[in-house]
Amino acid sequence: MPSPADRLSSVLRRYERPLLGYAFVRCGDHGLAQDAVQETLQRFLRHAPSGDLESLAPWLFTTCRHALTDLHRKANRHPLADPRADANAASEPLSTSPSPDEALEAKETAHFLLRCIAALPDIQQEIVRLKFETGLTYRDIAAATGLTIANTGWLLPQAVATLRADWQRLESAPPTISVSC
Amino acid sequence: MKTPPEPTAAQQSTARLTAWALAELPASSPSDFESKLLADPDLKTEAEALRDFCNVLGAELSSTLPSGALELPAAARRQLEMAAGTPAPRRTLLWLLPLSVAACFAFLLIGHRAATGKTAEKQQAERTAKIAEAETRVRAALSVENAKNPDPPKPSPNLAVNQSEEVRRLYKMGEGYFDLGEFQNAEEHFNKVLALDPTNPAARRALEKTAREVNNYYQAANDHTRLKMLNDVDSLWVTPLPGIQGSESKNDSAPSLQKQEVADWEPHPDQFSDLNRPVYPPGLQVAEKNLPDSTSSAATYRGLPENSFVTVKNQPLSTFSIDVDTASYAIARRYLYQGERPPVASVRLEEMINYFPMDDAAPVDGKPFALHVESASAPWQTEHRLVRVALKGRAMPAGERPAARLVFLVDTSGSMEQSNKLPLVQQTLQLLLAQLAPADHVALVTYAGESRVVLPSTPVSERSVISAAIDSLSSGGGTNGSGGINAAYELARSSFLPAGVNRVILATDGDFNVGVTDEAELKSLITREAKSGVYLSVLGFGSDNLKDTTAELLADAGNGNYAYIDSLSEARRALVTQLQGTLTTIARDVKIQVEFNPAQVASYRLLGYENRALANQDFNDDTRDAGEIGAGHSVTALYEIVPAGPAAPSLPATDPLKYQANPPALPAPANLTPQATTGELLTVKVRYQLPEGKAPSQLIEVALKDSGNTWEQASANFRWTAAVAGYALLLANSQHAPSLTWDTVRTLAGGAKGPDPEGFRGEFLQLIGKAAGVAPGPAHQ
Repeated sequence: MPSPADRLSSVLRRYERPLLGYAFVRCGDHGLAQDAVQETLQRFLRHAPSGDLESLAPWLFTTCRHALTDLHRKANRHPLADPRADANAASEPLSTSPSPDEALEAKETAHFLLRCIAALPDIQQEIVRLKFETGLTYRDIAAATGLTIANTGWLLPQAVATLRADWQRLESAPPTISVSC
Repeated sequence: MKTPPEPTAAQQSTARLTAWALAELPASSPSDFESKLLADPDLKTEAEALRDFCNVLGAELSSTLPSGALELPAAARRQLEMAAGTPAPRRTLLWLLPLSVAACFAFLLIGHRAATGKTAEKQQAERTAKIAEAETRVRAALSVENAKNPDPPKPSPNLAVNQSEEVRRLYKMGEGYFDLGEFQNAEEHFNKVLALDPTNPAARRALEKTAREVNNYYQAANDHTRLKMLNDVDSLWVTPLPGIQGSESKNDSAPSLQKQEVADWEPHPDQFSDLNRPVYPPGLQVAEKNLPDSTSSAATYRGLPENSFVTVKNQPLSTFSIDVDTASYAIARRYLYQGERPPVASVRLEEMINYFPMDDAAPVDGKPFALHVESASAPWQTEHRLVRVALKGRAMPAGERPAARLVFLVDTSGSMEQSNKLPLVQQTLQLLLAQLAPADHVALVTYAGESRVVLPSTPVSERSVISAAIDSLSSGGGTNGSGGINAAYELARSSFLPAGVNRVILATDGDFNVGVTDEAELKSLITREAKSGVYLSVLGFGSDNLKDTTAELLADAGNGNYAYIDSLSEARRALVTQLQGTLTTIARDVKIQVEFNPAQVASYRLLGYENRALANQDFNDDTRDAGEIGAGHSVTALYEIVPAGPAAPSLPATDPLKYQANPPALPAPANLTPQATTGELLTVKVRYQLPEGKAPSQLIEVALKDSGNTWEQASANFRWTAAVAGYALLLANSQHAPSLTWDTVRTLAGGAKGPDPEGFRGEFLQLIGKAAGVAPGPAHQ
């Protein structure tokens, strides 16, 4: 019978990144995502659901979703300063691109891709962001979104194919024209 | 979830290729798929292109994430570990894990070999030993960590669970103290935040802001004192001229003083004793309502011309909205106590007669109010009849009041400094606080330049906290009336209690001189909020800058009432005696419509309610906003009636029509319905809506037959109402009561005073004397 501490560490190892990624994709705010995952893990410790590591995934992702809703409600109740929000606003990532031109081009590409992703249907959007932005596996994506792995394996390639078509349009089009997708 | 359509072969192939590119192939079929892939060159290029694209996607998208985004912060991990009971080895110290695992394994093996049939006790001992071993290793690692990056003092386990809550609470408290101006306390709280969450930039910035504010304050105080002294010096040089005061009143043209009169008039030396009072030549007809104020200030009153007689033939219906504001009486009283005549434009007859509660019979059959109608002769014109229409609201015992969620919105701008303003506001609010029940909630918002939440919604069980917050108010700055109202409504909405009393109480001297000053915009804002169930009451203070018009406008739009507080006893009246009425609305949008019987009435005149007039078709229109009645309130209106018959005075006749047949002077008998022959004078209809919900309005109807009484025979309520009406008519220089004298008013009032437990009626009798002194009345000129 593993001790709570051991269970916690194994859950952390396996699920810290996926949960944080999922929470971030759903709410868009790092601070809020971290709080939600914190809350999820605390609930995990409190309720200690049984089962092996892999089968915990749906429970964890669902709890994470609920925690996000609760935090949203709490935040909206008192619309005064949120220290976390300010903290995140301050922590803009330093650009690692060497030259300004490349940085600009990189930003444009990312921006373009994000716009194309936003044009996808909702479920495909979520899957694409979970996969590529935060690196979740098919299995975790399936557990988080409630789809089956086969479904995920079906929808994601479709989304990728759409994005690839848009991308090829961008590559072939002259750079001064803004491509809308 | 939709079932996807039957997949084509191409789509299936794409799916499998993508899965390969993402290394997500199911475990069963990687090897033969890969070999097939490598064999076919087209597939291979396709697959590699797909893989490149996926890499690009991954790189671009994850580049938008800040570093360390997908890791829980160190503090969070420690909390969880503590909650789990044992610190687990940190991720970055992963290299330690195999070591400790190895150590545990070694232990286990040794233990296992030592005794195959272990008892539970021994197992427990082993486990503890393993944990102890891991603990020492982690401690060692952490101490290395500590040397590089000293930890803040660990919070106690009780706090650890809700740390982010604690941080937020401390930050809010710090901000609250900052708004109150207690910079020491604010700094203390922000430092506490940093103790709990050392990398909190918001707390750092707040500390910086605090330091800057303290610095600014000294600067501002310096400038303020200097400016004040300059102003004081300048004001000594201003000479007020008669008839041309610097008033910003909304009245149109200045009075028509005859130049010759002014030139011929010799001022008497005594008349300049008070430079601020305009002195009028004795022969001047002070008949306009549009005269400027008697004080050299910017107080504004909007006067409408009084209602005049209307023939029943032309207008058989009279429609108006009720009004329970009482400000006009208190304003006039304040002028009289100062020995001055109240501005004619500030006199609103309906507010004066409604200042006094009446002891009409309360409603019996579960209706929110009872309707009483009485008629007698008019004391100032005995051929005319006076009809008194009274609504008496249902009383609500103290325990029955639903719980209240109040937001005090206090103007703390520089103009509120005087002793009859902010200090009186504070005393008034303390009085109100003393009347509230522990289940009520109070919040406090101030506005002066910018709006600040001094106290979030706090239950009255924490009376001392609220009391301290009220005491801490101080004035300074300009006024941003609209910003303050927005903040107050936000607070009210966040603490909204369905089926409770949700009200914003605005205490101001009416000075809205920064930000939104457009009346229409303010009004629409308040109307919108009132629709959502949060009502607004206005308490007016001060004498020199009172924007009476704006205050009344806001209270009307906010479905609340407007009271003027000039002394602590008035505060007591408005907020203690009348508390139930001020706080609980029992009926809203109450409208009155009277139909007169042309067979009995030749013409009529509604006394007062000039700015409450409604179009006749508005009576049945539930969307039109009208006045509200609070618990225990009484509302009275008076009509002066000229009975039909040969004695009816001739009103100016309209010219004969050119394009239509002239209507007959009296309605032809065929136009009258059978009801007209019943001898009824009039029928009063009242429409009202219940305060909650959107149910259609309800109707109460009462008809009146003239009793034929003289006014001496009328009830005490009637005579008292007539007395106050007479007082108002004389103060307003009414043209329709030429033979009215102060003696008549005194006789009426003296006879109808009744028990008068609170002394307000006795005070009225004294005021009659004062008013007679400053406003002699037409009969005396």
